[in-house]
Amino acid sequence: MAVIRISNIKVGQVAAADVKDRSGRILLAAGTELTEKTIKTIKSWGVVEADIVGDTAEPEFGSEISEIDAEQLHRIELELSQRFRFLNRSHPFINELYEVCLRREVSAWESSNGL
Amino acid sequence: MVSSAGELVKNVDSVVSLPSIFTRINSLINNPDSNLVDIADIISEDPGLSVRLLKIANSAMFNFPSEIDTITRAITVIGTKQLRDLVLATQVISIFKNIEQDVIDMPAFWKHCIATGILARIFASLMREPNTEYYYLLGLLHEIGRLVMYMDIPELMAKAVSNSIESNVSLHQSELSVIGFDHAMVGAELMKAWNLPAPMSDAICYHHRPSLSLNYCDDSAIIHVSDLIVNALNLGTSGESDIPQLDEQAWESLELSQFVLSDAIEQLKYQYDEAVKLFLEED
Amino acid sequence: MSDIENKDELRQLRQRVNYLERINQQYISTLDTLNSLGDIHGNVKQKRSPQHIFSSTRQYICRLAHFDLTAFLMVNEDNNSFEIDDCVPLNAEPELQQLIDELINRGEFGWALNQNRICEPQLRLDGRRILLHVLASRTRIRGMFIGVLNETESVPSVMTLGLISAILYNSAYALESATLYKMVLEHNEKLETKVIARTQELNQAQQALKQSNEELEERVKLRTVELSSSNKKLIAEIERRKKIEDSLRESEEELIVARQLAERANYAKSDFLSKMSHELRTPLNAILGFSQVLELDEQILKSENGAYVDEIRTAGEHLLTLINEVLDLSKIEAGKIEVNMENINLGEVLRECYALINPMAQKKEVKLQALSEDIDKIFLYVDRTLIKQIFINLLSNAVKYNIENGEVEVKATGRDNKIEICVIDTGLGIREDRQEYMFQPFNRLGIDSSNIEGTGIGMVITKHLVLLMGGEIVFKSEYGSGTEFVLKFDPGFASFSPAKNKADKSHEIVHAIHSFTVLYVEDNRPNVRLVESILSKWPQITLKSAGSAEEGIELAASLKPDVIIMDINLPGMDGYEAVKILKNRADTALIPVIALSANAMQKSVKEGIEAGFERYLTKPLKVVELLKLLGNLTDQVLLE
Repeated sequence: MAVIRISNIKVGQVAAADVKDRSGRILLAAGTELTEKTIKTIKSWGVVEADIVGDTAEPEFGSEISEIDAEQLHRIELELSQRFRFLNRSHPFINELYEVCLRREVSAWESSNGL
Repeated sequence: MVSSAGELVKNVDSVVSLPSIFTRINSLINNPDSNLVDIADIISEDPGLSVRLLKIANSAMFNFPSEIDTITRAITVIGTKQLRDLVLATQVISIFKNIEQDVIDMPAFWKHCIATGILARIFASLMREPNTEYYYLLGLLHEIGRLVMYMDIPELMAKAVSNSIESNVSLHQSELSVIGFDHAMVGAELMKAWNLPAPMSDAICYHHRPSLSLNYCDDSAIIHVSDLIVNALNLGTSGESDIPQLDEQAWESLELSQFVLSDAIEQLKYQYDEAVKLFLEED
Repeated sequence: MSDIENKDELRQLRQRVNYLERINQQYISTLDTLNSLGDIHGNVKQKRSPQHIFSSTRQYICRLAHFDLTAFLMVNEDNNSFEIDDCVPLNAEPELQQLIDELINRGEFGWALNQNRICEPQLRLDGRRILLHVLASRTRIRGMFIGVLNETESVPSVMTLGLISAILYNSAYALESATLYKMVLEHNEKLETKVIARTQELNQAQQALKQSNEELEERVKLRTVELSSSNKKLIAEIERRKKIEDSLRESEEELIVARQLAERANYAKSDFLSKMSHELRTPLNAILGFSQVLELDEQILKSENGAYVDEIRTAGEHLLTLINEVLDLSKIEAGKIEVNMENINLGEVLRECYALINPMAQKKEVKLQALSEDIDKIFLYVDRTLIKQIFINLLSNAVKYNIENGEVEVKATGRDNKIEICVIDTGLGIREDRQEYMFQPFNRLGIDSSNIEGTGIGMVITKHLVLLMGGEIVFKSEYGSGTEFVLKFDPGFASFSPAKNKADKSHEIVHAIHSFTVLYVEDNRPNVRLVESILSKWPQITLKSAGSAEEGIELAASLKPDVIIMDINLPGMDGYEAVKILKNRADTALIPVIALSANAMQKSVKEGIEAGFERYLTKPLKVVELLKLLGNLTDQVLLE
């Protein structure tokens, strides 16, 4: 799984994730094989890079499922909650923000711990 | 004793003054006769700026598919109107660089501002704003007031900081209660002092309470939300230890779905490192 | 100031004024354009087609800059590709497509799409500048505007570019409206189609419903008719049944009345019989009694009067027999005979009957054949009294209707689990044509005119009694040679040896003779005198009498007699009440009381025993019976 610049994408490769334009319009569903036409479409929408399945320059970066242990996760969450304490967690935007931050913290911790 | 933000700004030395190049570009742009060639000429007069500008045009911020090697091309890519704001952006940080740095962690501060600017620009683009550089500039300048305050009234700021921890309130609220005015107001006053257009000072003034802005609440809202997110992401620091409150109406006014968030943050990540390098590096 | 300086200043001022005027003009035309942006898309209702929007937009844009080519590309929502929707000049389309493909490939197209403003890609078409602008509303990118500037044109001013941008944004919104409107129209059409289809369906359904409704109504009508007719039948049936019920009820009522009448009649009859029984027996009691007394007198017996007395007694006895028989018959008919079945020894009973018949037989010089010894081994399960009555009747008939020196024989055998008893006589016999009337009452079968006495009731009673005991009676007769009666009964069990019986008879235990007192409560003086004279023969018996129940009770209490004889029919308190009182008093309770009554009804006997009487004797008084009883009660033998 790797993110490659659109200019380097080849026919036959498979999208590892949904290919979206900047406003979120899904141009290509995950798992679809790239054809000449679809590559052209992706380009016409200004997509800069895409997540491609298969062997690439960059090595696999761990599994999707976090291998972080529960205790560490809890610690991260506590810290995050502390920082979010002025915010209304039930607001959809805040909630989404929290999730994103959590994921970032977790992957940051993972990468710093050589996962 | 400073009684208002305006006074504080006045007291600050002419250390902080706008570079002339900005004013010249501004008037050129306002001249309907002018074209980008004229503007390119002005820029070329400052080689440092030219190089900077080219680097920025070629950066992830603009993501142009092929290399830009001329100023005119750069201006074409960047956009003429947009250029003015971008030029100011490149200059602003230099203005404050000479200030002593033990009061505040300057790189961290500017990192926060750059990140806010980039995110504000991304949101503006999603909202079909033609001049996205304007929002970059706003993002960059929105916290400038705090810098001024740290420079000029450090003791009061320290009090405000400790008060915010004790009373468990955000820093800007503490500024208001301890000092009597907050950094947003100071920033707005600086904009005025620099004769920058009213929309700019208005947007900056209300970036913590966008709903209160009469005419430019959309701009304030963009900055407000961007600032909040950058705080959450912990990119640099503005002095706030925790994420300030969300003005929910502001979010609503953007008419954006919360699901654009992860994509926007992706793009921010994509542009951030390069932008930090470009804007903070030494001339 | 010098002239040159003034001239310079003036020139500068003029330049400035010109400049300002030009700017002003530009501003005015810009404002004008902006003002009429609303008109671009004209009458909102009429001109919603994208084509129209494209052409209006083109008009305005071309006023602002000189384009060789302008085209509008729209997003194909199915595959996200950009298609040329409107190209002017039309013949430039293939060339345009090529250009677009190149721009996409270079990435400049995609880049421009995200800029929200006029972009000039590096690529040029034959040296001519290309302008790109996204067509997007706040919500969605809809397409791209592409224009190729005339070679003489340089890059338009910032203001112009801004204006073009504003126009294109406006168009994008208009296109969005048009698309949405089209979607709404399509949706509406689809909806209408659906509605029409659904309405049709509904109509059809309604029709079907109506039809089935009508069918239903028809069926209901039919059913109603059926129901009403069957209803009528039902009502008629009910009426009929009601009538039947009514008539049944009437019959029931009639029956009830009839039964009541019958009961009343029966009761009246019983009552009558009871009264008659008493009325007839009382004088008869006197007649028989006194004649018996007279007969006891030896003097009378020897004299002429003896024969008279005999006549009297005989007549009386006949009368008694008659009365008894009539009463019996009534009793039998009323079902009031009490039957006490028991084992009786045939020999014993027959010998008793023989004893009674003997005098009669001797008189008539008819021989009663001796009974065989087997007879003593035979036991019957019958009522003792009734069987005796039957035998006496048969034997007396056998004797009565016999010839001089005739014979009467009684034989008995067991046959088919029954005891058969034959009473054979050598008498006159019965004529064949008269035999069927044997068991009819009052029919003496032609013997009425003869001098043989009889009531004509005997045989009827005999048959009834036989049947009562579960037996059978038949006869054979030959006129002139004789008659044979055959009785069949259930055998009894030998419960005691005949020898013992004989022993009783042969041994006479002599009891000690001791004296005792008898109190006779009777209001009828002749009856008292009768009993007095009877009992006078036994000197050990002292007789006292009382004329009423109350007197009797007093005397009983004071005298403490050994036996009390009580007449039932007493004035005032009757015998029943008296005996109850006696039995309730401690001082008289143990004295045995014998009832003496003319009332021989079964009920009376039962009542009497229940009331407290020791024995219930009927009038006319049987001396022998009385004496026997007295002997029993006083533990001595009075008679030999």
